Amino acid sequence: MSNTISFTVNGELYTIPVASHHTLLQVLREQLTLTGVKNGCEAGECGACVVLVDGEPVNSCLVLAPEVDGAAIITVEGLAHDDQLDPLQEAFIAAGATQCGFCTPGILINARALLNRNPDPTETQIREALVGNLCRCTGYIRIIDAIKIAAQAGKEAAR
Amino acid sequence: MQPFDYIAPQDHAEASALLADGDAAARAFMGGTDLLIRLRSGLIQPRRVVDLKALPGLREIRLSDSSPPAAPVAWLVIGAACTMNQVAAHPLVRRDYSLLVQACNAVASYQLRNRATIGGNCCNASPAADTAPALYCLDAMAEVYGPGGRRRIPIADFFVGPGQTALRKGEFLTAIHLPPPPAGAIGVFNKLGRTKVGDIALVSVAVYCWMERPDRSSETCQVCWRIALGAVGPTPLRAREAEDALAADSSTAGTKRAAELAAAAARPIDDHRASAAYRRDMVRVLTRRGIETVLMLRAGSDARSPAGDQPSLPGGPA
Amino acid sequence: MSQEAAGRNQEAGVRNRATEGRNPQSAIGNRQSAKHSLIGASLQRIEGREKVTGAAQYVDDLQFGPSLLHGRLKRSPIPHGHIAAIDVSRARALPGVRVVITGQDFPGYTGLYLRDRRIFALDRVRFVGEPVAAVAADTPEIAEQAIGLIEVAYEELPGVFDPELGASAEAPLLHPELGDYECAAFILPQAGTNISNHFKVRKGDMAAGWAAADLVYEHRYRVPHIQHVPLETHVCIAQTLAAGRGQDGRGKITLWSSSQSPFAQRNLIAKALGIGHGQLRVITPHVGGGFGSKAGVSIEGACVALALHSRGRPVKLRMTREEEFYTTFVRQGLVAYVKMGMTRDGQITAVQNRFYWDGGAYTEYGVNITRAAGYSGSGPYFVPNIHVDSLCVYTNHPIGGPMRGFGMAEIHFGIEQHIDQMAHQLGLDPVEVRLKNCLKEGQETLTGMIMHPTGLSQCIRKAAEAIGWERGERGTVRRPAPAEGWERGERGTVRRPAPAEGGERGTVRRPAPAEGGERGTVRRPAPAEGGEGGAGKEPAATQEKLVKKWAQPAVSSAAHKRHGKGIAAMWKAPAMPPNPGSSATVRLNEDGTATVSIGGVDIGQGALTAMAQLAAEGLGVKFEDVRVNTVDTDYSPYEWQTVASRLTWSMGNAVLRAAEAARTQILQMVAEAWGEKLNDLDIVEGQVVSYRSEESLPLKDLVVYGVQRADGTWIGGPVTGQGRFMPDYVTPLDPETGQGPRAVVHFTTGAQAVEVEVDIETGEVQVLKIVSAYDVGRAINPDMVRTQMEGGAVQGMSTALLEQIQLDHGAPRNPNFSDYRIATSVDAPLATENIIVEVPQDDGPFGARGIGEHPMVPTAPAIANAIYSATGVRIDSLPITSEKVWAALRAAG
Repeated sequence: MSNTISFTVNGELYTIPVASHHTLLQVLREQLTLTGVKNGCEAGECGACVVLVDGEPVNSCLVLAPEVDGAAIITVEGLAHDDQLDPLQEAFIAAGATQCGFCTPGILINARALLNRNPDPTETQIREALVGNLCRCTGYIRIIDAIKIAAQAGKEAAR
Repeated sequence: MQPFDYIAPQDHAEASALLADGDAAARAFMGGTDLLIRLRSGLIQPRRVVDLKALPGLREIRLSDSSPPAAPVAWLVIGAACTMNQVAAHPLVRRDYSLLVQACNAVASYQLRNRATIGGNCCNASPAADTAPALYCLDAMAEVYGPGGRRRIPIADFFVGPGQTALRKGEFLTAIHLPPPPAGAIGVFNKLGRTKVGDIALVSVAVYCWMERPDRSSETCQVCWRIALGAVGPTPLRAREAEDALAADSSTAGTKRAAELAAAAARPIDDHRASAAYRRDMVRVLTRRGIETVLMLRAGSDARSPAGDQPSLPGGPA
Repeated sequence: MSQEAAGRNQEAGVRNRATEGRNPQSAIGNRQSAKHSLIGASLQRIEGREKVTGAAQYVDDLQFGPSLLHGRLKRSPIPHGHIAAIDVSRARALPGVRVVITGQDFPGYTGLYLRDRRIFALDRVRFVGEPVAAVAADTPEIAEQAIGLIEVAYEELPGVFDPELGASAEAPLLHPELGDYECAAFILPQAGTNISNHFKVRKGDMAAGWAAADLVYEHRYRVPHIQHVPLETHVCIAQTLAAGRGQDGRGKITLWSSSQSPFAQRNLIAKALGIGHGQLRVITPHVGGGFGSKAGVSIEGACVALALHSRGRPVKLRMTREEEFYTTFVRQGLVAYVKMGMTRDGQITAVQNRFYWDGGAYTEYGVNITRAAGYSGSGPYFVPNIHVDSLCVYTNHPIGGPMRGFGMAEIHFGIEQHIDQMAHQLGLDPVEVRLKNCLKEGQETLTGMIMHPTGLSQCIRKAAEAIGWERGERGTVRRPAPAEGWERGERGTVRRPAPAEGGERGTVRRPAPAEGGERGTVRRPAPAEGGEGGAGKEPAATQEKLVKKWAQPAVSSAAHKRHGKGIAAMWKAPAMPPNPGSSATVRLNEDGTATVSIGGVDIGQGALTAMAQLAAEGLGVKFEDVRVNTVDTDYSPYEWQTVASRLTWSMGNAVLRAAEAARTQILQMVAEAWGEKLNDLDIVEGQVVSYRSEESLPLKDLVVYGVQRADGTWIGGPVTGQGRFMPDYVTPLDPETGQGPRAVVHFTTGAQAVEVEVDIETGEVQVLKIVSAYDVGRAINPDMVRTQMEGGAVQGMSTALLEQIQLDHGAPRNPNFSDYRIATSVDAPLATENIIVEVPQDDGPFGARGIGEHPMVPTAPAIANAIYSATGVRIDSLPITSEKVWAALRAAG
């Protein structure tokens, strides 16, 4: 069954037919070729597919395509503005928080959502916010550092 | 996943009719955190998926205006499609049912809690369901809509067996009703997993305590307890003997004894996650710890106000 | 200077480099020291921006349009059986199905070290999940349906699920044709058995060794199967192109593959299909983690097979997470019997180890893990008398393949607990015992190789110091529970039990007293460096002090918590055939930037960045002006495989040589054009400079167009440097004794110390701090070295506490993240410390040695040792779940 839905992704409006049984992950990767969103398990466990839907992070592998009619979605491709990287992206590069890079997009999105709702998180809060984003390469240590750096940069910018 | 149709009915009757159709040809869909995994594995292959989220009231949290007669205070009605984060963040839930806040926040990860629903957690009916021990302690009622109209089922009757609920053909869960919180209610939820956070429970224990005055003029308060166990039986369980023992004696020795009784009440099995023996002993440990924490919090809050302010409890996202 | 002379000079330059490579100090000394700012610089990863913006392309991101077909594999549901019949007719008839193939279509054998497997099972399946057929269809849904329509009839056979049983004479034979399989010269299959490799070490005089021991202890350790869990599952796309049709009419095949071994894939698949190497092109973009799982060939053969029949339509084959857990490669299980003899002052006198590897259904790669474990089977210690038997056993289990550590994590789990336990039993400090016995330069390893300079002692000391080992902890004295067969002596002294009858396995045997003091000679090890651990034992008073110091747990944070610290050392050599080659080119562009082409893959370890640093350093350009290409076997120079922690060392040498060759080409043309001497010229930050005339010229333009002479003619031409490296000194080992002058290229050594907190009511273990210290020779990029240490430590911790593929009659019970848990952000230790030790590798680029695998090797035994220190219980099998700790505490009373 095909449904035509309208939704925005990274600020762009799309009106496209989607299959009922396709997930948001499939729509983003295959129909919109936004391949920054990754497929790590398709079971909501690894977090590689996390995107923002109406400002909140969700595992896009567990969202059915027809559900996002009318929604505003942000993927990793939408974090930077023009050539200006999000402070989190800058911090990830500076802190060495990326190795193979496969978990990075999902973590950046989740971290962006965390800083949006809590601009000054404790380390415990950072760790708990990321518990559903698996990383096998880094051991999370630089990732936590990078988020702290970005939070600090955000506080300084706000002053 | 094999193809299916997606339908988002706008009214309860339509939804019920869709779900009643055929041999499991239709599946109810809210958060999808369990459903989509089963769809992808091919375990189930429905012809249509019925999205209940848009039904009136299913995503709302409100005080009931139709409480049971003679009830002086309103119940809290939580729409079945409310997400874990939604429930845990709601001011009324945080004020009056912090045990449920802890339980909701124990589920998986923040992003999964943006999708997982309290209704889905109950309908999936895993014996390890994170919200169940809290709902058992709170004496929650499940409100169900079906071909025969609406009915309410006590939560302990809603869970029937592993993966099995009291829902009949064409019925779906519409809300969880929570009775008004008793005075001085304090609850603690403890969960043991293989990883510190985010795992399916190997064992979970909710301990809940409140004060009851036989009458308003009386000085004496009766302390009442609820102890509910998760992941150690075919359904969540109440440890009633433990509750009674604790009500009679909540000294250190009494706490120890109550914990042992709770362990005895558990009916765990060996499975690929843990052995029955370990689970049983962990019931004892988590129950004891839960009771100790409740007593400590009660001592702290007694110092502040006899009515029992809600102390701030662990469990909460950033 | 004539062209010929210039050519000779260039050759001489390369030749000199080869010898200079043996002595990096002199090579470096020729250049200005200020220019070495890129080596030892913690520069940011060059592909960082691509990855954080989502622009980095992995195989599944490549776009192929609507003609792309989706492949799925039909898999065996049983662990062992004959295929009686396969009926694919219903699958073929399903609309949208374009290809259906079975083992009949591809009967050839393949394998890296032992050719024992086929692309699809032909007559027999040997593990749950073995592919028996494949389909390619227009959509994934149709492919899934088609798989369900393939009917396979099996006649089940009895299975082998335990490697000790599998090695015994009673076990059914899983590979009756083992004796006919082709294998590498250094693999020793035992025809007529399930043993696909038996590596032996026989050194010294065991009787004398046991006789010299005051304590002999034997124990069994068990390590289950685990999986690498790369975040990106295995995925590949293959397409046959009509253009470029070869002699055999099959056309050119392109394989896009998430792979650690594009060249090995080309080699193995071309051979399996009987086509030429030029007919198969392998392209590897970014790879989302490998950890060894993406080495060699797994699903790629099946994907190419599908593409051969799809009439030019590209076919994608991607593993679901469930398939990833058990159908590509897993890390094989191990049952290890460790037996060690030690004098009362902690000197190891003899070791006898027996390793039974649960190799799985096919051990084409696993046989080399068995070998590596064999020649490393002493642990990083000097052991003068040693027997090791390392057996690779066929079982009806998933396929064991290379995983980070290549056997080292598995064997060190037992060895590092064993030495720890013996130290405790003797009342000695485990750190001191390790320092006493750890290999020093000049000592012989168990295969007779002379140990090269190594910082192993430094690593052990520094790790112990950083975890606070010497601090001495307050709290009640807890005496460790006596190991089975031991009696608790007084005040920490050791009382040996009466000798067990017959000295059965698992009990302790008191060494037979030497008669008349003769019984062969006892070989005493050379005194340790610095006079430590020399002859003679510690005075009794000091021994007691040592017992108190480390046996006492720290003050715990709550009544039910205990703290403890543990340490473990390790060593590992790159496990390779004797002739694994690297090559590289450095090509200059008109704008003065350089393009480096390599055959190795960045799987997250930072290879692209390290190579850019080496190339920039070797050439004399800025780091930002170097690009490093990913691999396309049509254009990239050959690299053996991205495994074995070998790229920085081996490929790094090739890149450095290529860069220096390019540099020489540039300097020679400018020398001639300027009438200057080569030695007076240099390239600094992209400028050719003369130290004599102080002239300078940017590289731009001249590196392609050449330099104009005074008379208006031009000299030079496009600059391309090439370099290659292959170690030429690895010797074969005697098949009966494992002895030989040079078993391996080198060892990277190190140690980890951990602090844990144990909840003694629940058994939960929290890792508070991990300290890692490794001798990397020279850290090309220190921060990247540290990130490897951190990531490895957490992965090691995860395998220690959480991971196991639960196999039930060969079927995996937990192929998903719900029940195969890996460490999350919450589990990562609260603190880590990473210590870089640099004792140069004589033939490494600037002295560098590999580090990729080593940081996850000693973590599990370090944690087990820390738990022992905290609680007095020792867990001898992985994973150390909270339930196991709880059960052990209960058993100890």
